[in-house]
Amino acid sequence: MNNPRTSRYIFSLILTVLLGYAVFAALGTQGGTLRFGPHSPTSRVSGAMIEKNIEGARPNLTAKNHTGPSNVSFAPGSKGLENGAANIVSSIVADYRSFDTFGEVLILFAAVTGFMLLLPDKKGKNKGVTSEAPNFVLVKAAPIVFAFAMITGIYISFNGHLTPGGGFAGGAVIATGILILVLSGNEFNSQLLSLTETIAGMLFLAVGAAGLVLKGNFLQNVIPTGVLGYIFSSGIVLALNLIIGLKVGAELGSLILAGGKKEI
Amino acid sequence: MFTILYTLSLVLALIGIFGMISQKNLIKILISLNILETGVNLFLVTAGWSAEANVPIITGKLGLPSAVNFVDPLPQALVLTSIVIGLGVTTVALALILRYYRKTGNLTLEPSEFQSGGER
Repeated sequence: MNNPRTSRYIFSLILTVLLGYAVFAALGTQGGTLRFGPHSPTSRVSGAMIEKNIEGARPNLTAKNHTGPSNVSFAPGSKGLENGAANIVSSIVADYRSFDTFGEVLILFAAVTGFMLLLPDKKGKNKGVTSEAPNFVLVKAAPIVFAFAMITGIYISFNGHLTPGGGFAGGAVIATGILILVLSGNEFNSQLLSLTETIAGMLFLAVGAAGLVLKGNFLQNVIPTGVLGYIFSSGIVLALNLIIGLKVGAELGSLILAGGKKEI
Repeated sequence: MFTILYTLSLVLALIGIFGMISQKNLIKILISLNILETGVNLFLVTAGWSAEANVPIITGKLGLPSAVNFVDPLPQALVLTSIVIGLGVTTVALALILRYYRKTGNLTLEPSEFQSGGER
């Protein structure tokens, strides 16, 4: 007990146990199980999001008794939905709650900007990410892997409303391709990345402004939703996923490029 | 099953909190923060999970197209936001840790001068 490290661990353990007791007590139990049991989504707001019936369910949602089935039938091939994305998570991220996504993109931009500002530029001649010369296998394989990573990233962004994926996942894959290219000693045009990021951010704002001008709400869907299950079927979800994919890929790519140019 | 998932995700978050309190190495504190984030994300996803429900993607294989068929997609969308914010926080925190390392020469949180009797 005389060892200060031991007493620190014991103190931390006691604090954590107390906090855990508080958390579990706040969650509460009902008959031995935690109170937050399995709820049906029909009794939640997301029930209306699943049934693509936010507009119709709005009176019911205020009364907190949205239980009735929606009159909109949705299945592959149905037309004229409020939101045509087959992937419901994508429809929430890029349509119903796209203003949240706008803030998310801004936060990512702020994080990258903060990283650039916090670290000073490297002074010496060695501008590479690694100090050693890259391996032969890495040098020869990097362009091929980069091409596949770009194609996969754009595909994931493009198909985000039909399959799992979306702008953020696709952008991360694109940035991985840039990472491999940079690790192999190749140069990547950082001005191109900055330009892509700027244009993608302005396009995001343009899509939002189009909704504001044409429909009255910022980021409201202005593109007609086609047949569910087809590639051009989801209104602004597809456009926003592509824009987010480009923007996130450019942001993370410039972050990776900055890693080689900063004093670490 | 729900109780197990809730309890384990909360225990994971508590492990992160324990690490943040007990460790003095800045990198370990950051790793603990990420563990805490993972626990909270698991908790949120579990809040919308249901054993008999499907992935929230409309396909032709589902018999009755209704909200009952799907797990709650809203926590998953929020967790996506949470993951991206966690990435941003980690990025800025690593940059700050690098600045701290360049200024002080070590990664350990030191007591300040007037507390020089403290533990290294």
